Amino acid sequence: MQETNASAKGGNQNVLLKMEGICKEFPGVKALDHVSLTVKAGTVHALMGENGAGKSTLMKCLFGVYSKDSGDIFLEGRKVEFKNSKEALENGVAMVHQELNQALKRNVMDNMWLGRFPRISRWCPLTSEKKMYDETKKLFADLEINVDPKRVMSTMPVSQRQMVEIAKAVSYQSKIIVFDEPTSSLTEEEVEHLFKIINMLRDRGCGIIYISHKMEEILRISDEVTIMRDGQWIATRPAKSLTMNEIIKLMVGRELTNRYPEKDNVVGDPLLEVKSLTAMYSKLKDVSFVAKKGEVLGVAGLDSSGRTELLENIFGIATRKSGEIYLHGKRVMNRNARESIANKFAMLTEERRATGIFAIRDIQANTTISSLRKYHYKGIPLLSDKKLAEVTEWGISAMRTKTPNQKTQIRSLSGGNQQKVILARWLLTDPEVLLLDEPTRGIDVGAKYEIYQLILNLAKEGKTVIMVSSEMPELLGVCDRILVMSGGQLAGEVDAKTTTQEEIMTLAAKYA
Amino acid sequence: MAEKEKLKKIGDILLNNAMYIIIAVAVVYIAIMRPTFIKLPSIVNILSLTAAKLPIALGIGGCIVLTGTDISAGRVVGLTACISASLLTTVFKVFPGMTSAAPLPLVLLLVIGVGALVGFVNGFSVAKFKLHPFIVTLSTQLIVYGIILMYLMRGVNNGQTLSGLADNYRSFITGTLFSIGGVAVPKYVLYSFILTIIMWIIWNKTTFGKNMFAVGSNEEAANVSGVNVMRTIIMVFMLAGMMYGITGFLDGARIASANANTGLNYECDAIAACVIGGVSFVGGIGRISGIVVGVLLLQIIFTGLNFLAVDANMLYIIKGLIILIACAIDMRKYLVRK
Amino acid sequence: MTEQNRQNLEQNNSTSQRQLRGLYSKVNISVKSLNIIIIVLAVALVACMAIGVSNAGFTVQFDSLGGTTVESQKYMYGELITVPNPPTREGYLFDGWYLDQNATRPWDLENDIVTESITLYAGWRLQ
Repeated sequence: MQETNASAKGGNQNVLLKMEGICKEFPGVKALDHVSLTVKAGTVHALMGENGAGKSTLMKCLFGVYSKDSGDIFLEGRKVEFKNSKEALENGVAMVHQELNQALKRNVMDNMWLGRFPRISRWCPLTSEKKMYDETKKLFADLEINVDPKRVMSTMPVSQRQMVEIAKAVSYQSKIIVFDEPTSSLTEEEVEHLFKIINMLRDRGCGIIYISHKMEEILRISDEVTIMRDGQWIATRPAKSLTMNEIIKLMVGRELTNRYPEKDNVVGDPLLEVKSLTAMYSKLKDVSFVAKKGEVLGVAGLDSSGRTELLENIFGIATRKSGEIYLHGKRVMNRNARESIANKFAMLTEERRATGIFAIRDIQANTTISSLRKYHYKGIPLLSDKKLAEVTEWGISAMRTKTPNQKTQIRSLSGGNQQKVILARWLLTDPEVLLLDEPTRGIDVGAKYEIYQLILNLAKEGKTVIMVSSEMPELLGVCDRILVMSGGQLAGEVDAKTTTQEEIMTLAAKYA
Repeated sequence: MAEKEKLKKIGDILLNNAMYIIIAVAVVYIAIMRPTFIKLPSIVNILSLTAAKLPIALGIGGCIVLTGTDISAGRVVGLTACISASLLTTVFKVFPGMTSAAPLPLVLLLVIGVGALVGFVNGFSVAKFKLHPFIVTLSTQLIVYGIILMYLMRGVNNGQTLSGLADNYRSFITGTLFSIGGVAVPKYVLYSFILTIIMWIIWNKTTFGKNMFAVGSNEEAANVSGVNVMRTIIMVFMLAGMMYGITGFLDGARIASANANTGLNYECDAIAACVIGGVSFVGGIGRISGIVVGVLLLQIIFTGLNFLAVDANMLYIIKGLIILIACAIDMRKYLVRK
Repeated sequence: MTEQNRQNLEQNNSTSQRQLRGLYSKVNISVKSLNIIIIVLAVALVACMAIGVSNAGFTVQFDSLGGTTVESQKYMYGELITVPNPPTREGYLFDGWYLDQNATRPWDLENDIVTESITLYAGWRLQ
């Protein structure tokens, strides 16, 4: 009797969105295999899974970015099929993107009302600035967002721009709002504000789909959790009944015992010394540190804390204002990438696809590009195909890259294998200092382990590895020491063996 | 389902090769209607004309690999043709003070230098100011045209067509290389062949060539990987400029005259040939062999249409459509499938 | 392996528009519409060729430079030009057709063949 009551109660919570048996196949791969998702009104529904589990594909099917092969989508019991995200928005399904698509040179209210500017009157086709301003002001007051509607977007921090995006979704009277990794660039305080808004929306009866990797957040904010793996629906459970370990188990499909290889590198003498490095165009200020031979030095910090900028300034692809770099006690200038490579530096960039790979070029071209001059015939400045093939073969076998052959386009490899190709590229330049920016981003768990192994092997060979990462367990597991950046400054330095995540987090918030 | 898949595959093949299919059908039709089209003189004629237009396409190909383009090509050819024709002549109208023709190698070096200079201006503006190559080369195209007109007004020439070229100049370029079946193959075919080989080596066997493809496929990654992006871009445009210079040098003697309209619209043919030959506007993709095939196919179809006595006005429309189709097919190949 | 493939695809699909930049970086068009465009353009091309062929013939215009007018004629590729009635002019003798007005490049009616549309100018000698 009680059970019936419970289910009746569940029934009262009317279902807003129902996706049933969604399938999507890309040539050769089933990206979604009969995935179902049910979002009830007045709940926050978390969607979890590893990279490549199919979360974003599922959302793209919902918004009509991809056309699904089969399956149905019901919005409040009505069968829908959106052709594009605009149509979805008009039907009350909105998305707050991970990467914001906004007209940065326009002001807040222009962005709010883009595509539906209010007219002065029905008969006058001129847009009414006043109406726009008033409505925006009202909406912001409602959501407790403290932003001037006339402010130009590009002058605002990412967190505020995100708030504008949320307000826009609300202004469309959206019933379903999808948040895709909304907290990745927010400070703790901003996250609190975001959660307050999400709770407000939930109380109004909206259904929220919340995509995030951060488990603490998910367990805190969500009511229900759906977990996906390999394009399949694995489980949907109430958040209260789940623990972090259970989620990981469901996501990975197995229990991870050894996530990090054994550390057996020996830290030697100081090799690289950076003295009060200050950047010209970013907030990086007065950073000094020493890195030793055979050491894996981690760099922790929030997004935009200056971690990436630190590496870019050392490598010379960002302009320095002041500061000195010493290698073996000798000053090096590193004015640009070429000079840095000659000085035996190497840098793996954060945005692999934007600044790492040459997508349409083959493995060979991608492997050899930084060290081409070494493969000339003796005496003539022409490239020897044989030498190119040899070193590429070495790169593939040394990194254990999985590829059909070296003439394969790099874009057809997985993220982990692409990363291995780029690592091979840098190893061929024979570097002493490797600067790795998020080396395991967008890589699946198995491949991550291999990358860690490679990093530790490099350290064992006596190279210095400086590694930036957002994943704290990764830093704790792989590094010897960890530098913590905060607001463009060095907030502290901790020993990876003795420190805790809490200590690092506290330091990371020091100047934020 | 399998049937449908098969049909789709066939459709894909048909659409991706639509251009080749149309050209093949047209050639067969022309050959049937005008049998002389596939006789030796006509074939030699097509090959010679292909050779004449090849260097400029080889130059522009590099610019397209960099996701750019170069529309100043035709005018640079015009300028260098006028320079060659004014110096290697028997009637010194532009330079009334001259009494004998300038030495050939000197003029060749001079026009290569002029081409390289224009290429440098193009490349520098593209690399340093990050302007779109279309805008930059549009400007240099206009500037070069102005220079041609002023150049032709020099001396006592008064803007007239330059002719009366020196014999050694003409024979150096249009002289007989060898004859097959009584049909003479001109010497410039050999020069074009040599240029093609040099370009092949540059594209495939040099650090510069590999860097060019790297910059074309991802400029930022190239910069991080230690490629000197600016120098690479400038060199690609300079190399293209040199090719235009050589084309101008060849064209002056080939056409036996040069005026303000020499080289007009050459860049259109060259760009069309590159795109047909698989040098993609997505950047970082292209082969020398593709460019050669592209130039050859275009030459075949236009010589053929000429054999059918199709009006020149219509040929412009056909040329435009061919470029559009080539672009659409290129786009289809590299678009992301949803 | 399939896991990797899938991951690839997701990455490729979401970001390759940015990684494959070039002139098509802003292109937002489905393959289907592109197919239609290609087919339409191909049909237009074939149609233009057909129109060109059906209207085949190079126009040869005659400028008698003050003499009696000669009607323009149409010739196919490789044909010889025949002029039924040479023009006449008061006080001058007609001495043949030329490719330029200054009568420097003569047109040989017996040997020169038509390969493009041209205008021929009459050459006059004082009587």
